[in-house]
Amino acid sequence: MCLGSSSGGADAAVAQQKAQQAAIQAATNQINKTFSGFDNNFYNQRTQAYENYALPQLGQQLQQTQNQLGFKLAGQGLGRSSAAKQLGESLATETGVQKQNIANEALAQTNQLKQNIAQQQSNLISQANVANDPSSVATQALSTASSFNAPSSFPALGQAFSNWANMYLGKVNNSIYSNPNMASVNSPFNYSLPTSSYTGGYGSSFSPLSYSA
Amino acid sequence: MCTGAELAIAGLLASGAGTGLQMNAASQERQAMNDAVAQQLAQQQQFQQKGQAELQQSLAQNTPQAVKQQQAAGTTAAQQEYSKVNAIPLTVSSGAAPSFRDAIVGDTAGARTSLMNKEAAPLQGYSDQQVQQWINNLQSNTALRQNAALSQLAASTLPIQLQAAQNSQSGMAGLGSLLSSAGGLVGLYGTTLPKTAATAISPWGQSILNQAARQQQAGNAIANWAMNPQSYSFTGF
Repeated sequence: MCLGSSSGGADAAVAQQKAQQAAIQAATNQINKTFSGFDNNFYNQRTQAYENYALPQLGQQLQQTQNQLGFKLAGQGLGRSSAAKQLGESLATETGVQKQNIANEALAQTNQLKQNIAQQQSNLISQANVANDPSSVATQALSTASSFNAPSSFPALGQAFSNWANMYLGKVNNSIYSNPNMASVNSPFNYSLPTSSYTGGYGSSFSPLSYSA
Repeated sequence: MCTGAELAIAGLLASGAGTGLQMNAASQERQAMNDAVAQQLAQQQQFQQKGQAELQQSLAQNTPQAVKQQQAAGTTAAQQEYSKVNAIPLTVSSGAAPSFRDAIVGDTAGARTSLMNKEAAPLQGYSDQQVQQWINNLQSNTALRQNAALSQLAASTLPIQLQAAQNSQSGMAGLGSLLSSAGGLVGLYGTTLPKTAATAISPWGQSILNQAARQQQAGNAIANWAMNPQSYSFTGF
């Protein structure tokens, strides 16, 4: 028997509150553990994945641009000239720029992924704070984390050398008109090189030089 | 038979014991409420300290020196990435290739690229630092929000605890009230009895007085027991 009245209700409320605190803490730990796999190694792999995706495309475009340049220089007899070397250096520099762009894009995508993952982790912890059953949120973390592990689709590289081609290959065209040796055979208003002279060894994927005023 | 005076005295004593019990019950309830508030304050102080630690940690990551370190780390990482990408050959140079192709792998373009990379790396470092800072802030805010949520959860039980503390000694207070009322009635009955010639207290009256004294002692004992039930033993009366 007891002269004081029972405080069972308050004790139960405190016990429930402590249990909820423990559940929130446990769910938070579980979420953090689930997301702990997203470490530097994971992000480095994602950076590498984009580079592995983009660099072969860049290599292919470089090859095509080299071939275009080769066609045009050979057609003018400038294959071993200093101008050819300068254009080659310019193309090499442009290749360096494009490689840098690819590395930057890879790092930017990795940073974006880092932000997305951190945001998701934060959202899940915030949900656990207010959920009636925080353990369910911890379970949800598994599916969320696995979605980030799945391979993602990268944007297409685009025409990496289009600016360079417009600027320098255009100059090669123009230089033909200023070449006195070629002046007699070229009309600035109706110029067209025969395609047959460009097919040897380079394939037929390139359109012939043409000019119309 | 005891006299009216004796009954009045006995009633007075019983009433006093009841009042004592009631006062004791009120005192214990006040103490229980104070304990509940003190306990809650201690809990809240822990949350406050944890929140301050989180904030300090976040602030430490925002100092100019920390920002410079993050930028330097980002710059180094970018430089390494550029070097790695540049080391990957995209075309194959052959001896029979035209001269312009030689320049693709030539030193001049390589030097230009290296210089460009060196200048671009710090920009990437700034970007990396901002992202890292954003993530750090997000994590700090998340931790602070959780701390606040747990603090709020702990505070939510305080009204219930206070209510329970306020009513924790209602049994003792009720007993005191009953005793006080009974004593009042006995006293009232005693004062209404006709006066007798006898001035000496009869043996029965004496025993009533003794009983009233013991009753008061018992009331005090109950009060003490309620305050410290473990160490008190009901002996001596």
